[in-house]
Order: sequence, then C-alpha cells, then structure tokens
Amino acid sequence: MRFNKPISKKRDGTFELKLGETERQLLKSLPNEVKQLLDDKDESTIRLRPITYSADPELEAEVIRLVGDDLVEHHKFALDTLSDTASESLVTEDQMVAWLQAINQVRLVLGTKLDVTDDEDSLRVATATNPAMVASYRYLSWLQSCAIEELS
Amino acid sequence: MSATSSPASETTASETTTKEAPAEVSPVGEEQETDQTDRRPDLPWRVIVWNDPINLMTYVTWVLQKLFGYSKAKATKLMMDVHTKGKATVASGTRERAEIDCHRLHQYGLWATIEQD
Repeated sequence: MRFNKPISKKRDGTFELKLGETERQLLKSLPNEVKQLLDDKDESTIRLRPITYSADPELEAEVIRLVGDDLVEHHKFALDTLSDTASESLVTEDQMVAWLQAINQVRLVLGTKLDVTDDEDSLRVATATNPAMVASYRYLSWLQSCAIEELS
Repeated sequence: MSATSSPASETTASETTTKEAPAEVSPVGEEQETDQTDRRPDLPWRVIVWNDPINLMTYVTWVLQKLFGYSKAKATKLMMDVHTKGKATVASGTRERAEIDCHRLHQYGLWATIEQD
C-alpha cells in the first residue's frame, strides 16, 4: 500500500500540501507550544540551545552573548512560518525550508521529552506512557522525510 | 541519528558519528591573535557534528549539502561517519569562520561544536 505524498514539489517551484485537517491542526499548535517552552527556557528545549565550545566556558559565554538571542529568534521565525502556513495549499521553497527547520525543532523537543535514544526500543517504551506524544513524533518524522525528498 | 520513518514505522535508528573526516582547511595564518584564547592561531578550528538519536540521517545529509555545498556522496559519507563513529569534522578554518558555520548548523538543529587542533 502506498501513502499519498503529503508534500509535492510543483514545476513552478512551489510545494503543494495535501494534509488532513487533524494534521494541519497539529502543525499549527505544536510550534506555538515549542515557542512557549523556549520562552520559559524549559529543559526540553536544550537541543535548541546547543553548546558551541564545550571545553571553554569563556568562549561559550561570548558566543551566547553574541548570537544566543539570534538563534532563538531564528527558531521562532521558522516555528511561526510553520504555524501560519499550516492551512495553506501551497508554500514557497523558503517556506518549505522553514517548515523543515520547524518540524525538526519540534522533533528535538518531543524526542528530548520522550528520552529517545539509539535503542530502538526507547520509543516503544515511551508509547506505553505517552502514546499521543509518540504518535506526534512519528508523524513529524515521516513528514520531515517527505519534505526532504521533495527538497532534494 | 535516526533513520527515515514511515507513519507506521516503529523504528528509530541509531545515530551517527565519526572521527574526523577530511576537512576543508582554509588558510588560517592571516587570523589575528585577538585574545588570549587564540594561543595557537596557526592551527585550524574544526566544526564537529555529533551523533544524536533524534535527527534523521537524511536530514543531516541534506543540511550538509545545503550549508556547505557538498555533493550528495560527500555529505552522505560525513553523515555515515557521524552515525557510525560518533562524530565528524564537517568544516575547518579560522575561528570566526568556524563560529559562523557552527551557528548555521545550530539553526538547523544539528548538534555541532568547535574545537581547535
């Protein structure tokens, strides 16, 4: 059985979105939840605030001072783009790149919350306690793969 | 890194890694010694991408192609180094250049750090 492609690149360079209403609602709401977590500096957003110089606290502090806010603003811009265009039938290539970044940010937060590891059983274990979050994580992983295929 | 998923997939792939991959070393000799942290200005700063269990393998490959203009083959080789060895050096050069590259990788959610040889 083949799944219908949720994202298709058209000849004019735009991307057609064929998504169900439930999926579109998810793509509207999750980015806003991640933005709130970013504002709260929640631990689950640690992967969105990565360390640049793990062995040099002075250089690390300098990087945070210079570009820390810029990085968070970049994340929020991508999250806003995803949320704002989730109901559209067509998006531009720039918007699709933002989708990819935002979907990855949401996956990083969900994966951190679910304690995803290299162990293939980690998601099965998480499913027992948090099935809805695992379902969202799996859906976004699939959607991200589809987006990469169309952007490549 | 994680392998590509399908909606019904239960598989999370393992992540990636490496040891240093061939680095594109740009001249660093002209870099000025701007502070005491540049003790060895003649040595390049390496941008390292680390294995993680969340980022998809296809996504890491795509990001390396997009940001550095690498061929699909080179980006895939670096991604596999990350996946199998734990990390890979994806670029190197002056400290300033390395910081820009690392910041761009962070914008895409990759786990990247900077080290000096």
